[in-house]
Amino acid sequence: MKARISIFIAMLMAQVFAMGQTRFLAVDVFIDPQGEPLAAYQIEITGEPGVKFVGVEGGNHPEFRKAPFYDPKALQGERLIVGAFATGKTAPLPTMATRVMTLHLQFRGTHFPKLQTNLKVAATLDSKRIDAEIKVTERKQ
Amino acid sequence: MSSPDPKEKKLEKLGRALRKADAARKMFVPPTRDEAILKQARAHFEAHSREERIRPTSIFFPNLIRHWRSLLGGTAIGCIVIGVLLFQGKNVAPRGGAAKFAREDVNRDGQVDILDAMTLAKLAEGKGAPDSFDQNGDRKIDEEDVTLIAAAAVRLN
Repeated sequence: MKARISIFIAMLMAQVFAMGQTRFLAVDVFIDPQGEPLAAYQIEITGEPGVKFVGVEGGNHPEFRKAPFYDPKALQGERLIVGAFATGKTAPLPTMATRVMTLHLQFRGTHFPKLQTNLKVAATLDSKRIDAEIKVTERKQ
Repeated sequence: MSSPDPKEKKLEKLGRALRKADAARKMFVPPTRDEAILKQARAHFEAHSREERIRPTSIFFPNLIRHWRSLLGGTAIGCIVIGVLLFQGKNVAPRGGAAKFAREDVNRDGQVDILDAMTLAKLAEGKGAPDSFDQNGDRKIDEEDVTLIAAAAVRLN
């Protein structure tokens, strides 16, 4: 009985320790342009309290491989605006869901932090607006 | 038949009033005193009519002409106040003469976003970008200008 109580207390302490521990997480941001060629996007991302953006990387499509534009002041903050555009010179523009960037987050806790995304702009090369969708997932190592 | 002069009428009236006042007070006032008063009144009327001849008056707005300095000053102040109110809050036109749009708003849709950077990038490739889109003032439209617009688009307020 004593052993069981000890194990339970140890697990509880480990859980409490993990909740207070700082974690780093990489999240992939996908945009699905619903069949239209995606040439430009601008997204506003807001993390839950305690989440800090610590890095921004480019995506895997050749036209969006470079890191998107963002305000360096947004790093270490909870709000970030990112934007990028492509000219379609190096490769055909993506028409299906594609990873456009990866964000690195710092936060406390064991859960997946809530990120609120607001797609401000998604457009084709001739500036036609696209009704695109955003998906944010944790990067699998 | 011509009507008597209004000044003379006034003088007659004054003379009558003086005589009546003397009678009411029941005291003797020498006629020379009355004459002196009437003489002074006549001199006053003549001086007044001379002044009116020098400074003509309008039939409709006699006070307007008499106080023309104050009116002119008031009008000038009014014009200045109206001018200041009209020009207050107006945007100064940027280079190129577009008054309502920010310099970074290349596609003139009223907001600065990544589409402005993309539009300028395309214009810069085609060498058809007007000088008004030169962001850094180096008299050429290139990648640096595009980067400046993109940075403005994602800037946190």
